[in-house]
Amino acid sequence: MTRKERIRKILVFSVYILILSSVQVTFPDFFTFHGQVADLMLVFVVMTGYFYGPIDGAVVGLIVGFIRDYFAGPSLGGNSNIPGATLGIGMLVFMYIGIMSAIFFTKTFHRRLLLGFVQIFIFTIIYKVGGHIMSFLVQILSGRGVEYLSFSHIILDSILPQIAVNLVAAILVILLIRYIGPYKKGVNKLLIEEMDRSGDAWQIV
Amino acid sequence: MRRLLSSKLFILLMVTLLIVAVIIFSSIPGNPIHGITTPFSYVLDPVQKGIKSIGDNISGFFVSVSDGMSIRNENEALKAEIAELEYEVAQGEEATRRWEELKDAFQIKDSFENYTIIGTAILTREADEWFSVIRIDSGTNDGISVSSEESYAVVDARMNLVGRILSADEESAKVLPLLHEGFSVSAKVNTVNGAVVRVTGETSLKQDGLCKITRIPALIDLKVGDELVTSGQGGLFPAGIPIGVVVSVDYSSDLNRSATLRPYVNIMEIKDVFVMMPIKEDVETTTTENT
Repeated sequence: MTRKERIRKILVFSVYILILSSVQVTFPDFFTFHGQVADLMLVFVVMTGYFYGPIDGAVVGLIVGFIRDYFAGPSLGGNSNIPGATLGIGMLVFMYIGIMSAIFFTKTFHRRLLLGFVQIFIFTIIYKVGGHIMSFLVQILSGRGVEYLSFSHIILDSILPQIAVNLVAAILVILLIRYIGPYKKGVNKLLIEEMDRSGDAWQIV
Repeated sequence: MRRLLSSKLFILLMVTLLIVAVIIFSSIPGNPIHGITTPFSYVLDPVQKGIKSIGDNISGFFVSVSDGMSIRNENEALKAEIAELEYEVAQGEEATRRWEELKDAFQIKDSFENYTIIGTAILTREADEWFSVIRIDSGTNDGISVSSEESYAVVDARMNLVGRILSADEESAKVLPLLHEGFSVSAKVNTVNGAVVRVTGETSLKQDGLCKITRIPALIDLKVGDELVTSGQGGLFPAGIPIGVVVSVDYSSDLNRSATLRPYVNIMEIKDVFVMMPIKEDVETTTTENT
């Protein structure tokens, strides 16, 4: 990779990370459907990993996760009177989302454009299900009882609306990555060598 | 050895262990981790404020265009209302003067006289249902410092309870809102000798904008419509801050009596909040007075 390409990659990723993260937490009402905010940060990390590989996915996921912790990190730990703000959970979760989205299904999907939406669908479900499980476990471990959201509430009011808004947000993110992305013509040349087909990696089914 | 160190799996494992260590360390009360985020706030906050400013300007432009006519009509009605209110203000000023005289005479203590109130803007709101802490535009530079024994109450312009300060860096602070499942406050029914209960955030009620009321005394029945205020127990929240209204009760089990509360504040609608910081007595002055 030339120096110019490296600078372009760093600059473009930095701008997208800062803008998408800030927009998500500053205007949550604008991108809301049925109580769920479009998770621009999650979509960006998944698309980065899916299109550009595990290293880009991991690094972008780590940084996005840190910003998520900084802006709105969950409350865990502390003592019974003063709960503590925890740093690091977002970093860990998003780093692994970036890596997994680069590994799972990418060979099957051949990193095709439209199948990126399927990737968003899959990882939104993984994130929401994992989040609810962790939330339930934390609630039990902290002694707040076993009462939690009902199964139908989780499916109808949490997961399905989140999938819908994330898929809509993915349109914007894919357009940004494809046409104003970190790589020329939206292709990470290092990944081309790993793929079966040669030539343009942007295939529409 | 070199191959191991350059192995991607090894690097991933090391990074994972480091992050887990950060998570554990940041959960310990009084840790300095949040001070480390201060340098990043110098980059992130200006960007986020810039985007907020652009968004506000854009939405303000469209609102001004679409609401032009109705604003003109409303303006006329408001002018008439202003005249009426000016008269009432003059009356109120007189009543305030009389109240001050009476307060001095009877030494009535103002509940919030011992607090410094800092007004500040909300910077960011929730990212999703688990990352739901909000950030405000005041930090340690403004006197907001949180420790394992000390935190501050946060209210809105009408003095309704919004939450408590969770952590602070130089330029900003995080607020744990009262809908959050980690939030808890001692409350009482806003009547003379009102029952003392506990109001907590609850995951299953958060999306409906409700809180849970527990520890309802056995001989007391809350009613729908009862107003709850902070009881002052615990020392963090001063007594008398309005929290919300009881909207439902559940006494089906004598051992697990509970109710739900709708908070007065709607966090998604407010733009500014106020941090209540207790005024600390000057130790030197106190020592001098004692001698």
